[in-house]
Amino acid sequence: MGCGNSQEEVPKASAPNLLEKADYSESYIRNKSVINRKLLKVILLGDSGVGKSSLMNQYVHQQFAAEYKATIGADFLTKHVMIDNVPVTMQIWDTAGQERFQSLGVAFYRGADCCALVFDINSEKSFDSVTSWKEAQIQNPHDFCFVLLGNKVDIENQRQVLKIQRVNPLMMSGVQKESSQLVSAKNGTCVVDAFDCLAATTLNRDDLVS
Amino acid sequence: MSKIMSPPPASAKVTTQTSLPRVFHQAIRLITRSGINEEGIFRISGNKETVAQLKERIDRGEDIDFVKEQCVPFDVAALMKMFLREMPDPMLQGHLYDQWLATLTSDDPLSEVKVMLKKIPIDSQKLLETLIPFLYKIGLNSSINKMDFGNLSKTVGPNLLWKVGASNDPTAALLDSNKINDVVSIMIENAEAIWPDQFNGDGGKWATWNAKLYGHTKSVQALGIGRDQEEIWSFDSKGQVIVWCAQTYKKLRQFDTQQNVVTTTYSPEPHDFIWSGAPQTIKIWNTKTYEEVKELKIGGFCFVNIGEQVFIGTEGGIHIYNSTTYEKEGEISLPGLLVRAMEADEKNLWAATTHREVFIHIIDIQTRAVTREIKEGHTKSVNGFTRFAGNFWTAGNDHMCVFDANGGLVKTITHNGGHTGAILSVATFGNHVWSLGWDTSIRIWEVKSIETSLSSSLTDLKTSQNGTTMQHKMYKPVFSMDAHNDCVESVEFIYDKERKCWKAWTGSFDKAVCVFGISPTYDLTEPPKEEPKPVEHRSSSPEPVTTSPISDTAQSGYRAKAGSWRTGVSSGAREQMRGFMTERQTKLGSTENLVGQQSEGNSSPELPTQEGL
Repeated sequence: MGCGNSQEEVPKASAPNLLEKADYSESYIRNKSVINRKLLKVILLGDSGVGKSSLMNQYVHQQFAAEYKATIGADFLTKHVMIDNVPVTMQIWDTAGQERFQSLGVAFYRGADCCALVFDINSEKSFDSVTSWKEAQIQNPHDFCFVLLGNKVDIENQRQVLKIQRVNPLMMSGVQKESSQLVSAKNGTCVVDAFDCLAATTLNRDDLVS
Repeated sequence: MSKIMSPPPASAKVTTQTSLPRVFHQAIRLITRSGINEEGIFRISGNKETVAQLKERIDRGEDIDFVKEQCVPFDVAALMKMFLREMPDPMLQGHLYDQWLATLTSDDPLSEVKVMLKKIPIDSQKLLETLIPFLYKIGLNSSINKMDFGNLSKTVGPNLLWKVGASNDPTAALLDSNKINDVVSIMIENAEAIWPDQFNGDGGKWATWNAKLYGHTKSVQALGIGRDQEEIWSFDSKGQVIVWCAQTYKKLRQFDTQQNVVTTTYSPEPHDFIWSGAPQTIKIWNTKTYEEVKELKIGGFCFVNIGEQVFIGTEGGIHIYNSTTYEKEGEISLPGLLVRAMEADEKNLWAATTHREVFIHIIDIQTRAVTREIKEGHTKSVNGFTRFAGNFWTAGNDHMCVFDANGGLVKTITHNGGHTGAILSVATFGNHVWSLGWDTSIRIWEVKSIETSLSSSLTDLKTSQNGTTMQHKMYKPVFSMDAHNDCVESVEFIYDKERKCWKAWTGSFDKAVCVFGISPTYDLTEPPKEEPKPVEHRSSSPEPVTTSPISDTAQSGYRAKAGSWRTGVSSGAREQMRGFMTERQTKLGSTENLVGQQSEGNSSPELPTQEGL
């Protein structure tokens, strides 16, 4: 029943009912993919304008909109993929990067498996902010798998370009270094790879935990 | 969660007239000057450390001048949002949360929003009255900063309203974002209808900043009034002209004049033509078709229309052209001099030149002979003239002066309410004179006659006929506007037919064009003409000007020839002049008025400035 599609977009929920919709869609997807389909809830966090929505759209729809648009509240898209021969439904949550939402509550993170911290490699500021986005979640009971995504590698020769050497060590505790990547939501560089990789890492980690 | 920055009314430092927190006043001033053209202003986050430091200083009670400290606009915008969201109660009042959201489902959301705005405390009302129109003005530039009304409401909105209690959980706010944004969006989109005073000025204001328009890549040198008095042409030093709609502020078209425009003039109906002057050529443009009608192969540094003729100030004198046939009809020779500015009354033509000692030549229009040379008043070159009450006001690189129609010095205006540094231009509008300064400000002047026996340094004393009372004339700046980030070069006044009010458009070296709405209470009546003093019989006839003391060489270019901003032609020449200016001001011991580090210390305390700027 529609499971044949490799991609499936859950209709965009209107903001006030997002939580209910989310619960609904989780169970919906679980029931629907009767056998073994694992659900991975991934949250994208990071400063405004780093390209969280663009990354999500590039991964799910292979599209890049040049339109400059701030995200309202939160939104999610899903995509079915095979990771190490395991069918997985990726549920990717995109959030508004406004400072106001930096310390999101438990409700929002319920059931999340992975948290992708996104920054703009041309903005040192957005890289520095990653720490505070991460720390804001520390009091959270959930045990996420954190990965880093450095976006906008398509832009070169900008004054603030972070040296790869600086990004590579990803000097941050609790971040999955091997699955952190430099990507471009604009031309798609490494986007699929990055999401597949974070899914694999999260699954492996979960397997280890369980 | 960190503690409150400074909530009004308790601990906030407030301005005297309103309860607008000082931080907001300073922040809006900084963003107006240097943040409106930044992509993602109010969206892109600030540098967390810097913002935290600023906040700490404000919490300690410090009044930070963000302009003076050259703060980054993104940091200041982030600070404003932080200020709003760290209020114990949201600006739109937590207990009204449901009522606010309910406005969206009513038949007339705008009216409901207006009703709701009356329900919040007066301090919050005052803050929104400044903040929301400011966001609207930022949104006018969305083609440059990408922040349309939607993006602005999405980024600022969540900081204005949330559900109180529930430990101020951002998740709850996140889930209702859509509605909160919609409410804020209604306010921003309708800011002009909700807060008209923030656009045209109320009784207490002279003029209110309305918009700052970007699109030029070089200094805006000149403005001209276009088709049907509904369009404004702005010319930059690279030769680009942008035609703006005077009502919507939309960019209608842009093209290359292929000349480095320094000055423009406008021939009113039935001609409807704009003459643009550059060092090598003059071009005449049809404002209806936007086409070049004619090119004159002479340099044009200033124009004045007298009857059917256009007098063109150029190198070596003044050329006289017919304003309809474009044929040359005469010439007034001023050998070795470059004419930088002109103004005329019924009898005389006043010309400011590059002469090092004679700052103004008065020329009889009929005989075309120099009848008087003015050496007094100024010690530096004169950049512009305006006629006010029968007198001639001059804008000089040193200060402003007022001369009577015969050339007698009435007043040297040097008091501390005026500009610091050079005055680039003066213009008369109604019963006031506007001056545009190197110090980035625009000032409005008033002349008051007071009969009293008190004397002060600010007044001119004149004994009235009966000799018993003293008549004082006060030349006083009454208002200052500060929206540009570099010297202000030109101003044009145009009537906004749609809003039924006057607007002042200004062009600046900061590459922007600003629009100011003039208050309905602004005195538009023309001042009564003052009678000049009887002509003094000077001991000698005008000195021959052929022995010009100008010591320019070919290399020194326009700087030496002109020594003025009016002729700031190519960017290279402008840089040269800027260097010259810096040098000159350093010599004068004034370091305050260099580009980008102006201080407000020059304003006299009683001089009001535009609120929020």
